[in-house]
Amino acid sequence: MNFETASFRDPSGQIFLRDDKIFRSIYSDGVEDFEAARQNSIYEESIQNGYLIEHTEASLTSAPEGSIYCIEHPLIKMITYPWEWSFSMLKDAALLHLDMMDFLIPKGFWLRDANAFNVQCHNGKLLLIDTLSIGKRTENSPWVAYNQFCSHFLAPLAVAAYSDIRTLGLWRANINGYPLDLAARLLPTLKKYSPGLLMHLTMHAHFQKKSQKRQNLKTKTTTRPRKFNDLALSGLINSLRKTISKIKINLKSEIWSEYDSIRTYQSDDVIIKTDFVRKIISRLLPETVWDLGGNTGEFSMTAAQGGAFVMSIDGDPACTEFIYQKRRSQKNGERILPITMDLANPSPSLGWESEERKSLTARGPADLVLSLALIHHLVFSSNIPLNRIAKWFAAIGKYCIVEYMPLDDPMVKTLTENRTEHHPYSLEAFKSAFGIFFTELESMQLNNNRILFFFKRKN
Amino acid sequence: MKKMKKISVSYLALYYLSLLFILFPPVNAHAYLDPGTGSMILQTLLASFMVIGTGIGIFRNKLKIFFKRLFNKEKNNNTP
Repeated sequence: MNFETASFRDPSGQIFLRDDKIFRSIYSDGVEDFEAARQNSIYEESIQNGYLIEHTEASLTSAPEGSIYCIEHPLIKMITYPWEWSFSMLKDAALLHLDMMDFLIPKGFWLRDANAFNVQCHNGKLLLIDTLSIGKRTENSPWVAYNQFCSHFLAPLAVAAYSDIRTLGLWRANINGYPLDLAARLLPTLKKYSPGLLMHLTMHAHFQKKSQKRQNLKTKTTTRPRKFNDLALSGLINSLRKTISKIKINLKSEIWSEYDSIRTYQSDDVIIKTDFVRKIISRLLPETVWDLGGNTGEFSMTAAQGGAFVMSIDGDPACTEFIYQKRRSQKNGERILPITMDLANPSPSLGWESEERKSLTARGPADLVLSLALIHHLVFSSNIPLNRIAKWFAAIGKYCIVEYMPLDDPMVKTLTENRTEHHPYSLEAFKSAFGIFFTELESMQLNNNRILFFFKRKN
Repeated sequence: MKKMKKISVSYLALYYLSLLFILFPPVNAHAYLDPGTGSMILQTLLASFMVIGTGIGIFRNKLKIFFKRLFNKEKNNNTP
Protein backbone atom coordinates (compact mmCIF):
# COMPACT_ATOMS: atom_id res chain seq x y z
CA MET A 1 0.00 0.00 0.00
CA ASN A 2 1.46 3.31 -1.08
CA PHE A 3 0.68 5.62 1.84
CA GLU A 4 1.59 9.29 1.72
CA THR A 5 4.64 9.66 3.99
CA ALA A 6 3.16 12.57 5.95
CA SER A 7 -0.23 10.98 6.55
CA PHE A 8 -0.11 8.94 9.73
CA ARG A 9 -0.70 11.09 12.81
CA ASP A 10 -4.50 11.33 12.68
CA PRO A 11 -6.15 7.96 13.39
CA SER A 12 -9.34 9.10 11.61
CA GLY A 13 -7.96 8.50 8.16
CA GLN A 14 -5.00 8.25 5.84
CA ILE A 15 -3.90 9.38 2.39
CA PHE A 16 -2.75 6.78 -0.11
CA LEU A 17 -1.80 6.76 -3.77
CA ARG A 18 -3.22 4.43 -6.40
CA ASP A 19 -2.74 4.64 -10.18
CA ASP A 20 -1.23 8.16 -9.87
CA LYS A 21 -4.33 9.36 -8.05
CA ILE A 22 -4.77 10.57 -4.46
CA PHE A 23 -7.27 8.89 -2.16
CA ARG A 24 -8.19 9.32 1.50
CA SER A 25 -9.38 6.44 3.65
CA ILE A 26 -11.72 7.17 6.50
CA TYR A 27 -11.32 4.74 9.39
CA SER A 28 -13.79 4.03 12.19
CA ASP A 29 -12.43 6.88 14.34
CA GLY A 30 -13.37 9.37 11.66
CA VAL A 31 -16.74 7.97 10.59
CA GLU A 32 -18.95 9.95 13.00
CA ASP A 33 -17.47 13.34 12.04
CA PHE A 34 -17.39 12.45 8.33
CA GLU A 35 -21.03 11.36 8.23
CA ALA A 36 -22.18 14.37 10.26
CA ALA A 37 -20.31 16.83 8.03
CA ARG A 38 -21.60 15.15 4.91
CA GLN A 39 -25.19 15.08 6.18
CA ASN A 40 -25.10 18.78 7.08
CA SER A 41 -23.61 19.78 3.68
CA ILE A 42 -20.52 21.11 5.45
CA TYR A 43 -18.16 19.71 2.82
CA GLU A 44 -20.27 20.95 -0.07
CA GLU A 45 -20.50 24.49 1.31
CA SER A 46 -16.86 24.65 2.37
CA ILE A 47 -15.80 23.66 -1.15
CA GLN A 48 -18.19 26.17 -2.72
CA ASN A 49 -16.87 28.92 -0.45
CA GLY A 50 -13.34 28.16 -1.64
CA TYR A 51 -12.06 26.94 1.75
CA LEU A 52 -11.70 23.21 1.26
CA ILE A 53 -10.24 20.99 -1.45
CA GLU A 54 -12.88 19.07 -3.35
CA HIS A 55 -13.41 15.35 -3.12
CA THR A 56 -15.57 12.66 -4.66
CA GLU A 57 -16.57 9.43 -2.99
CA ALA A 58 -14.67 6.44 -4.36
CA SER A 59 -14.95 2.67 -4.15
CA LEU A 60 -13.34 0.74 -1.33
CA THR A 61 -11.60 -1.65 -3.75
CA SER A 62 -7.86 -1.58 -3.03
CA ALA A 63 -8.44 0.72 -0.04
CA PRO A 64 -6.39 -0.16 3.05
CA GLU A 65 -7.77 -2.55 5.64
CA GLY A 66 -10.11 -0.87 8.09
CA SER A 67 -11.42 1.72 5.60
CA ILE A 68 -15.09 2.51 6.07
CA TYR A 69 -15.21 5.20 3.38
CA CYS A 70 -12.84 6.23 0.61
CA ILE A 71 -12.71 9.62 -1.13
CA GLU A 72 -10.62 10.86 -4.04
CA HIS A 73 -8.95 14.27 -4.15
CA PRO A 74 -7.46 16.15 -7.11
CA LEU A 75 -3.68 15.89 -7.34
CA ILE A 76 -1.82 18.94 -6.08
CA LYS A 77 0.92 19.91 -8.50
CA MET A 78 3.46 20.79 -5.83
CA ILE A 79 3.43 20.28 -2.07
CA THR A 80 5.31 23.05 -0.29
CA TYR A 81 6.13 23.54 3.36
CA PRO A 82 5.83 26.49 5.78
CA TRP A 83 9.63 26.91 5.88
CA GLU A 84 9.46 27.68 2.17
CA TRP A 85 6.50 30.05 2.20
CA SER A 86 6.51 33.80 2.03
CA PHE A 87 5.30 35.76 5.05
CA SER A 88 2.03 36.68 3.33
CA MET A 89 1.33 33.10 2.28
CA LEU A 90 1.64 31.96 5.91
CA LYS A 91 -0.61 34.85 6.98
CA ASP A 92 -3.20 33.93 4.33
CA ALA A 93 -3.08 30.31 5.51
CA ALA A 94 -3.78 31.52 9.08
CA LEU A 95 -6.70 33.67 7.96
CA LEU A 96 -8.08 30.73 5.95
CA HIS A 97 -8.25 28.68 9.17
CA LEU A 98 -10.06 31.53 10.94
CA ASP A 99 -12.49 31.96 8.01
CA MET A 100 -13.27 28.25 8.22
CA MET A 101 -13.87 28.46 11.95
CA ASP A 102 -16.24 31.43 11.48
CA PHE A 103 -18.13 29.34 8.93
CA LEU A 104 -18.18 26.12 10.99
CA ILE A 105 -18.96 27.37 14.53
CA PRO A 106 -22.60 28.44 13.90
CA LYS A 107 -23.23 25.02 12.31
CA GLY A 108 -21.95 23.12 15.35
CA PHE A 109 -18.60 22.12 13.79
CA TRP A 110 -15.00 23.20 14.15
CA LEU A 111 -11.47 22.38 13.03
CA ARG A 112 -9.91 19.54 15.00
CA ASP A 113 -6.45 20.83 14.18
CA ALA A 114 -4.83 24.01 12.87
CA ASN A 115 -1.85 22.61 11.08
CA ALA A 116 0.06 24.79 8.59
CA PHE A 117 0.86 21.70 6.49
CA ASN A 118 -2.88 21.28 5.86
CA VAL A 119 -2.90 24.38 3.65
CA GLN A 120 -1.61 24.03 0.10
CA CYS A 121 -1.72 26.06 -3.09
CA HIS A 122 -3.99 24.40 -5.66
CA ASN A 123 -4.75 26.06 -8.99
CA GLY A 124 -3.46 29.33 -7.62
CA LYS A 125 -5.58 29.33 -4.46
CA LEU A 126 -4.81 28.41 -0.88
CA LEU A 127 -7.07 25.58 0.27
CA LEU A 128 -7.39 23.37 3.31
CA ILE A 129 -6.45 19.93 2.03
CA ASP A 130 -7.27 17.85 5.12
CA THR A 131 -10.97 17.12 4.82
CA LEU A 132 -10.90 15.25 8.14
CA SER A 133 -9.79 18.39 9.98
CA ILE A 134 -13.49 19.25 10.13
CA GLY A 135 -15.26 17.69 13.09
CA LYS A 136 -18.27 18.13 15.34
CA ARG A 137 -17.73 20.78 17.99
CA THR A 138 -17.63 19.56 21.56
CA GLU A 139 -20.16 21.65 23.39
CA ASN A 140 -18.79 24.12 25.92
CA SER A 141 -15.22 23.15 25.18
CA PRO A 142 -12.43 25.61 24.33
CA TRP A 143 -10.83 25.14 20.92
CA VAL A 144 -8.67 22.00 20.91
CA ALA A 145 -6.47 23.44 18.14
CA TYR A 146 -5.79 26.84 19.77
CA ASN A 147 -2.33 25.74 20.91
CA GLN A 148 -1.43 24.48 17.44
CA PHE A 149 -2.79 27.60 15.74
CA CYS A 150 -0.64 29.85 17.90
CA SER A 151 2.53 27.83 17.34
CA HIS A 152 2.02 27.20 13.61
CA PHE A 153 0.79 30.65 12.61
CA LEU A 154 0.81 33.38 15.23
CA ALA A 155 4.30 32.77 16.60
CA PRO A 156 6.19 32.50 13.26
CA LEU A 157 4.36 35.52 11.81
CA ALA A 158 4.98 37.74 14.86
CA VAL A 159 8.65 36.80 15.08
CA ALA A 160 9.19 37.28 11.31
CA ALA A 161 7.52 40.69 11.37
CA TYR A 162 8.94 42.10 14.61
CA SER A 163 12.34 40.44 14.78
CA ASP A 164 13.59 39.46 11.30
CA ILE A 165 11.95 37.87 8.27
CA ARG A 166 14.82 35.38 8.05
CA THR A 167 13.50 33.77 11.24
CA LEU A 168 10.95 31.98 9.02
CA GLY A 169 13.85 29.57 8.59
CA LEU A 170 13.29 28.48 12.23
CA TRP A 171 10.46 26.34 10.86
CA ARG A 172 12.97 23.78 9.63
CA ALA A 173 14.20 23.21 13.17
CA ASN A 174 10.69 23.29 14.68
CA ILE A 175 8.52 21.35 12.28
CA ASN A 176 5.77 20.88 14.86
CA GLY A 177 5.41 24.62 15.28
CA TYR A 178 7.38 27.30 17.12
CA PRO A 179 7.66 26.88 20.88
CA LEU A 180 5.62 29.80 22.23
CA ASP A 181 8.16 30.70 24.92
CA LEU A 182 10.91 30.95 22.28
CA ALA A 183 8.73 33.15 20.10
CA ALA A 184 7.83 35.41 23.06
CA ARG A 185 11.50 35.75 23.93
CA LEU A 186 12.38 36.86 20.38
CA LEU A 187 9.80 39.65 20.32
CA PRO A 188 10.65 43.24 21.26
CA THR A 189 9.17 44.17 24.68
CA LEU A 190 6.64 46.64 23.27
CA LYS A 191 5.24 44.01 20.92
CA LYS A 192 5.29 41.24 23.52
CA TYR A 193 2.87 43.24 25.67
CA SER A 194 0.60 44.53 22.92
CA PRO A 195 -2.96 43.25 23.61
CA GLY A 196 -3.33 40.43 21.08
CA LEU A 197 0.21 39.07 21.38
CA LEU A 198 0.10 39.45 25.17
CA MET A 199 -2.91 37.14 25.38
CA HIS A 200 -2.20 34.60 22.65
CA LEU A 201 1.59 34.43 22.79
CA THR A 202 3.14 35.79 25.99
CA MET A 203 0.47 34.67 28.47
CA HIS A 204 -0.11 31.51 26.46
CA ALA A 205 3.59 30.59 26.82
CA HIS A 206 3.39 31.34 30.55
CA PHE A 207 0.36 29.10 31.08
CA GLN A 208 1.93 26.29 29.07
CA LYS A 209 5.01 26.43 31.25
CA LYS A 210 3.04 26.48 34.49
CA SER A 211 0.85 23.56 33.48
CA GLN A 212 3.88 21.48 32.46
CA LYS A 213 5.14 21.69 36.05
CA ARG A 214 1.91 20.14 37.28
CA GLN A 215 1.87 17.34 34.71
CA ASN A 216 2.64 14.67 37.28
CA LEU A 217 -0.61 15.44 39.10
CA LYS A 218 -3.54 13.21 38.19
CA THR A 219 -6.47 15.08 36.66
CA LYS A 220 -10.11 14.17 36.16
CA THR A 221 -12.80 15.95 34.20
CA THR A 222 -15.38 17.66 36.32
CA THR A 223 -19.09 16.94 36.32
CA ARG A 224 -19.70 20.72 36.20
CA PRO A 225 -17.46 22.03 33.38
CA ARG A 226 -16.81 25.73 33.08
CA LYS A 227 -18.75 26.97 30.00
CA PHE A 228 -17.00 28.01 26.81
CA ASN A 229 -19.97 28.66 24.59
CA ASP A 230 -20.13 29.56 20.89
CA LEU A 231 -20.00 33.27 21.70
CA ALA A 232 -16.74 32.83 23.58
CA LEU A 233 -15.32 30.67 20.77
CA SER A 234 -16.34 33.23 18.13
CA GLY A 235 -14.79 35.90 20.33
CA LEU A 236 -11.54 33.93 20.47
CA ILE A 237 -11.48 33.56 16.67
CA ASN A 238 -12.24 37.26 16.29
CA SER A 239 -9.41 38.16 18.65
CA LEU A 240 -7.00 35.89 16.76
CA ARG A 241 -8.10 37.45 13.46
CA LYS A 242 -7.44 40.98 14.75
CA THR A 243 -4.05 39.94 16.11
CA ILE A 244 -2.98 38.19 12.89
CA SER A 245 -4.28 40.98 10.64
CA LYS A 246 -2.28 43.58 12.56
CA ILE A 247 1.02 41.71 12.02
CA LYS A 248 2.54 43.36 8.97
CA ILE A 249 5.91 42.92 7.35
CA ASN A 250 7.93 46.00 6.53
CA LEU A 251 10.44 45.00 3.89
CA LYS A 252 13.01 47.28 2.27
CA SER A 253 11.65 48.81 -0.87
CA GLU A 254 14.77 48.20 -3.03
CA ILE A 255 13.24 45.19 -4.71
CA TRP A 256 10.17 47.20 -5.68
CA SER A 257 12.23 49.95 -7.31
CA GLU A 258 14.36 47.33 -9.11
CA TYR A 259 11.18 45.78 -10.47
CA ASP A 260 9.93 49.14 -11.69
CA SER A 261 13.20 49.85 -13.49
CA ILE A 262 13.02 46.51 -15.32
CA ARG A 263 9.44 47.17 -16.31
CA THR A 264 10.09 50.67 -17.67
CA TYR A 265 13.38 49.91 -19.43
CA GLN A 266 14.11 46.57 -21.05
CA SER A 267 17.56 46.21 -22.57
CA ASP A 268 17.86 44.34 -25.88
CA ASP A 269 19.41 41.37 -24.11
CA VAL A 270 16.51 41.03 -21.69
CA ILE A 271 14.12 41.07 -24.66
CA ILE A 272 16.19 38.43 -26.50
CA LYS A 273 16.38 36.31 -23.35
CA THR A 274 12.64 36.55 -22.79
CA ASP A 275 11.91 35.62 -26.41
CA PHE A 276 14.24 32.61 -26.21
CA VAL A 277 12.52 31.32 -23.07
CA ARG A 278 9.06 32.02 -24.49
CA LYS A 279 9.86 30.21 -27.75
CA ILE A 280 11.15 27.09 -25.99
CA ILE A 281 8.20 26.96 -23.63
CA SER A 282 5.71 27.27 -26.50
CA ARG A 283 7.41 24.30 -28.23
CA LEU A 284 7.99 22.13 -25.13
CA LEU A 285 4.72 22.97 -23.34
CA PRO A 286 6.04 21.98 -19.90
CA GLU A 287 3.47 21.39 -17.19
CA THR A 288 5.84 22.35 -14.38
CA VAL A 289 8.68 24.85 -14.48
CA TRP A 290 11.12 25.59 -11.64
CA ASP A 291 12.69 29.03 -11.94
CA LEU A 292 15.89 28.85 -9.87
CA GLY A 293 16.91 32.26 -8.55
CA GLY A 294 13.57 33.73 -9.63
CA ASN A 295 14.37 37.18 -8.16
CA THR A 296 11.53 39.54 -9.17
CA GLY A 297 9.78 36.79 -11.15
CA GLU A 298 10.04 38.22 -14.67
CA PHE A 299 10.95 34.89 -16.27
CA SER A 300 8.56 33.01 -13.97
CA MET A 301 5.84 35.19 -15.50
CA THR A 302 7.05 34.32 -19.02
CA ALA A 303 6.72 30.62 -18.15
CA ALA A 304 3.31 31.18 -16.52
CA GLN A 305 2.07 32.97 -19.64
CA GLY A 306 3.09 29.84 -21.56
CA GLY A 307 0.57 27.86 -19.48
CA ALA A 308 2.95 26.22 -17.02
CA PHE A 309 2.70 25.91 -13.25
CA VAL A 310 5.79 27.75 -12.07
CA MET A 311 7.65 27.39 -8.81
CA SER A 312 9.80 30.48 -8.45
CA ILE A 313 12.63 29.72 -6.04
CA ASP A 314 14.83 32.38 -4.48
CA GLY A 315 17.01 32.51 -1.39
CA ASP A 316 15.89 36.05 -0.54
CA PRO A 317 12.60 36.07 1.42
CA ALA A 318 12.01 39.65 0.20
CA CYS A 319 11.84 38.33 -3.40
CA THR A 320 9.42 35.57 -2.41
CA GLU A 321 7.23 38.08 -0.60
CA PHE A 322 7.39 40.45 -3.57
CA ILE A 323 6.29 37.83 -6.09
CA TYR A 324 3.53 36.52 -3.79
CA GLN A 325 2.04 39.99 -3.49
CA LYS A 326 2.49 40.93 -7.16
CA ARG A 327 1.01 37.71 -8.53
CA ARG A 328 -2.44 38.64 -7.29
CA SER A 329 -2.65 41.58 -9.69
CA GLN A 330 -0.99 40.00 -12.73
CA LYS A 331 -2.73 37.99 -15.44
CA ASN A 332 -1.67 34.31 -15.09
CA GLY A 333 0.05 35.32 -11.85
CA GLU A 334 -1.89 32.67 -9.97
CA ARG A 335 0.16 30.01 -11.83
CA ILE A 336 3.29 31.13 -9.96
CA LEU A 337 4.11 29.76 -6.51
CA PRO A 338 7.07 31.63 -5.01
CA ILE A 339 9.14 29.84 -2.38
CA THR A 340 12.22 30.73 -0.35
CA MET A 341 15.11 28.34 -0.57
CA ASP A 342 18.88 28.58 -0.51
CA LEU A 343 19.77 26.59 -3.63
CA ALA A 344 23.08 25.57 -2.10
CA ASN A 345 21.10 24.18 0.86
CA PRO A 346 17.71 23.16 -0.58
CA SER A 347 14.91 21.81 1.61
CA PRO A 348 15.95 18.43 3.02
CA SER A 349 13.71 15.52 3.96
CA LEU A 350 12.53 16.10 7.51
CA GLY A 351 10.32 14.66 10.18
CA TRP A 352 9.55 11.11 11.21
CA GLU A 353 11.90 8.54 9.65
CA SER A 354 13.42 11.47 7.79
CA GLU A 355 10.82 11.11 5.05
CA GLU A 356 7.67 12.68 6.49
CA ARG A 357 8.33 16.00 4.74
CA LYS A 358 10.00 15.61 1.37
CA SER A 359 13.19 17.16 0.07
CA LEU A 360 13.04 19.37 -3.00
CA THR A 361 14.60 16.63 -5.15
CA ALA A 362 12.01 14.10 -3.98
CA ARG A 363 9.22 16.45 -5.13
CA GLY A 364 10.63 16.67 -8.65
CA PRO A 365 11.66 16.42 -11.35
CA ALA A 366 10.27 19.52 -13.03
CA ASP A 367 9.59 19.37 -16.76
CA LEU A 368 11.79 22.44 -17.22
CA VAL A 369 14.32 24.17 -14.98
CA LEU A 370 15.31 27.79 -15.61
CA SER A 371 18.76 28.81 -14.40
CA LEU A 372 19.20 32.38 -15.58
CA ALA A 373 22.00 34.54 -14.13
CA LEU A 374 22.54 31.89 -11.44
CA ILE A 375 25.44 29.54 -12.20
CA HIS A 376 28.17 32.03 -11.29
CA HIS A 377 26.64 32.47 -7.83
CA LEU A 378 26.78 28.73 -7.18
CA VAL A 379 30.39 28.43 -8.43
CA PHE A 380 31.87 31.54 -6.80
CA SER A 381 29.67 32.28 -3.75
CA SER A 382 29.00 28.66 -2.77
CA ASN A 383 32.15 27.05 -4.22
CA ILE A 384 30.28 24.30 -6.01
CA PRO A 385 32.05 22.78 -9.05
CA LEU A 386 30.26 22.94 -12.41
CA ASN A 387 29.92 19.16 -12.75
CA ARG A 388 28.13 18.94 -9.36
CA ILE A 389 25.77 21.73 -10.44
CA ALA A 390 25.03 19.89 -13.69
CA LYS A 391 24.46 16.63 -11.78
CA TRP A 392 21.93 18.31 -9.46
CA PHE A 393 20.14 20.04 -12.34
CA ALA A 394 19.76 16.62 -14.02
CA ALA A 395 18.23 15.28 -10.78
CA ILE A 396 15.61 18.05 -10.59
CA GLY A 397 14.72 18.74 -14.23
CA LYS A 398 14.09 16.85 -17.45
CA TYR A 399 15.04 19.89 -19.53
CA CYS A 400 16.81 23.07 -18.54
CA ILE A 401 17.64 26.50 -19.88
CA VAL A 402 20.96 27.65 -18.42
CA GLU A 403 22.63 31.02 -18.85
CA TYR A 404 26.44 30.97 -18.98
CA MET A 405 28.14 34.26 -18.03
CA PRO A 406 31.85 34.55 -18.94
CA LEU A 407 34.56 35.42 -16.38
CA ASP A 408 34.91 38.97 -17.71
CA ASP A 409 31.17 39.66 -17.26
CA PRO A 410 30.72 42.58 -14.79
CA MET A 411 28.37 40.55 -12.56
CA VAL A 412 30.85 37.65 -12.41
CA LYS A 413 33.75 40.04 -11.73
CA THR A 414 32.07 41.36 -8.58
CA LEU A 415 32.18 37.82 -7.18
CA THR A 416 35.77 37.03 -8.23
CA GLU A 417 37.62 40.28 -7.41
CA ASN A 418 38.68 39.11 -3.93
CA ARG A 419 39.35 35.56 -5.00
CA THR A 420 42.62 34.02 -6.14
CA GLU A 421 41.34 30.46 -6.39
CA HIS A 422 38.11 28.93 -7.62
CA HIS A 423 36.84 25.83 -9.37
CA PRO A 424 37.41 25.68 -13.16
CA TYR A 425 35.09 28.18 -14.84
CA SER A 426 35.14 28.72 -18.60
CA LEU A 427 32.91 27.96 -21.58
CA GLU A 428 34.83 24.71 -22.20
CA ALA A 429 34.51 23.67 -18.55
CA PHE A 430 30.81 24.53 -18.60
CA LYS A 431 30.10 22.54 -21.79
CA SER A 432 32.17 19.63 -20.54
CA ALA A 433 30.37 19.50 -17.16
CA PHE A 434 26.87 19.78 -18.59
CA GLY A 435 27.74 17.42 -21.45
CA ILE A 436 28.06 14.56 -18.93
CA PHE A 437 24.40 14.80 -17.96
CA PHE A 438 22.69 16.71 -20.77
CA THR A 439 22.44 16.89 -24.55
CA GLU A 440 22.61 20.42 -25.95
CA LEU A 441 19.55 21.09 -28.10
CA GLU A 442 19.94 24.80 -28.77
CA SER A 443 22.03 27.82 -27.81
CA MET A 444 21.97 31.57 -28.36
CA GLN A 445 24.65 34.17 -27.75
CA LEU A 446 23.49 37.48 -26.30
CA ASN A 447 25.03 40.88 -27.13
CA ASN A 448 26.86 40.97 -23.80
CA ASN A 449 28.67 37.64 -24.56
CA ARG A 450 26.44 35.65 -22.27
CA ILE A 451 25.14 32.41 -23.79
CA LEU A 452 21.81 30.70 -23.25
CA PHE A 453 21.75 26.91 -23.53
CA PHE A 454 18.73 24.64 -23.86
CA PHE A 455 19.56 21.14 -22.57
CA LYS A 456 17.76 17.81 -22.47
CA ARG A 457 18.60 15.36 -19.69
CA LYS A 458 20.35 12.16 -20.80
CA ASN A 459 18.67 8.98 -19.52
CA MET B 1 5.16 19.30 63.83
CA LYS B 2 5.89 16.74 61.12
CA LYS B 3 2.25 15.58 61.19
CA MET B 4 1.08 19.22 60.83
CA LYS B 5 3.38 19.70 57.84
CA LYS B 6 2.05 16.50 56.19
CA ILE B 7 -1.56 17.62 56.67
CA SER B 8 -0.92 21.13 55.27
CA VAL B 9 0.89 19.66 52.22
CA SER B 10 -1.99 17.30 51.47
CA TYR B 11 -4.51 20.17 51.78
CA LEU B 12 -2.36 22.24 49.39
CA ALA B 13 -2.28 19.38 46.88
CA LEU B 14 -6.07 19.05 47.20
CA TYR B 15 -6.44 22.81 46.59
CA TYR B 16 -4.39 22.72 43.38
CA LEU B 17 -6.14 19.56 42.20
CA SER B 18 -9.56 21.14 42.72
CA LEU B 19 -8.40 24.19 40.77
CA LEU B 20 -7.56 21.92 37.88
CA PHE B 21 -10.93 20.13 38.29
CA ILE B 22 -12.75 23.45 37.93
CA LEU B 23 -10.67 24.87 35.13
CA PHE B 24 -10.06 21.73 33.10
CA PRO B 25 -13.02 21.38 30.78
CA PRO B 26 -14.05 18.24 28.85
CA VAL B 27 -12.26 17.61 25.55
CA ASN B 28 -13.61 16.23 22.29
CA ALA B 29 -13.32 12.42 22.32
CA HIS B 30 -12.22 12.58 18.65
CA ALA B 31 -9.35 14.97 19.30
CA TYR B 32 -6.13 13.23 18.30
CA LEU B 33 -4.26 16.45 18.98
CA ASP B 34 -3.06 17.22 22.50
CA PRO B 35 -4.78 20.55 23.14
CA GLY B 36 -2.39 21.38 25.97
CA THR B 37 -3.60 21.93 29.54
CA GLY B 38 -2.19 25.46 29.70
CA SER B 39 -3.89 26.41 26.42
CA MET B 40 -7.27 25.14 27.61
CA ILE B 41 -6.95 26.95 30.96
CA LEU B 42 -5.99 30.22 29.26
CA GLN B 43 -8.99 30.05 26.94
CA THR B 44 -11.32 29.42 29.85
CA LEU B 45 -9.86 32.41 31.71
CA LEU B 46 -10.18 34.61 28.62
CA ALA B 47 -13.74 33.38 27.93
CA SER B 48 -15.46 36.26 29.74
CA PHE B 49 -13.33 38.84 27.89
CA MET B 50 -14.08 37.13 24.58
CA VAL B 51 -17.83 37.15 25.26
CA ILE B 52 -17.73 40.82 26.29
CA GLY B 53 -15.57 41.68 23.25
CA THR B 54 -17.94 39.90 20.87
CA GLY B 55 -20.92 41.54 22.54
CA ILE B 56 -19.38 45.00 22.19
CA GLY B 57 -18.60 44.26 18.55
CA ILE B 58 -22.17 43.14 17.82
CA PHE B 59 -23.59 46.20 19.65
CA ARG B 60 -21.24 48.53 17.77
CA ASN B 61 -22.28 47.06 14.42
CA LYS B 62 -25.97 47.38 15.29
CA LEU B 63 -25.36 51.01 16.28
CA LYS B 64 -23.57 51.66 12.98
CA ILE B 65 -26.45 50.14 10.97
CA PHE B 66 -28.98 52.16 13.00
CA PHE B 67 -27.24 55.49 12.36
CA LYS B 68 -26.65 54.64 8.71
CA ARG B 69 -30.37 53.98 8.23
CA LEU B 70 -31.23 57.12 10.18
CA PHE B 71 -29.00 59.38 8.08
CA ASN B 72 -30.14 57.76 4.85
CA LYS B 73 -33.76 58.36 5.90
CA GLU B 74 -33.02 62.01 6.65
CA LYS B 75 -31.22 62.39 3.34
CA ASN B 76 -34.21 60.95 1.47
CA ASN B 77 -36.65 63.25 3.36
CA ASN B 78 -34.54 66.34 2.60
CA THR B 79 -34.09 65.70 -1.12
CA PRO B 80 -36.96 67.27 -3.13
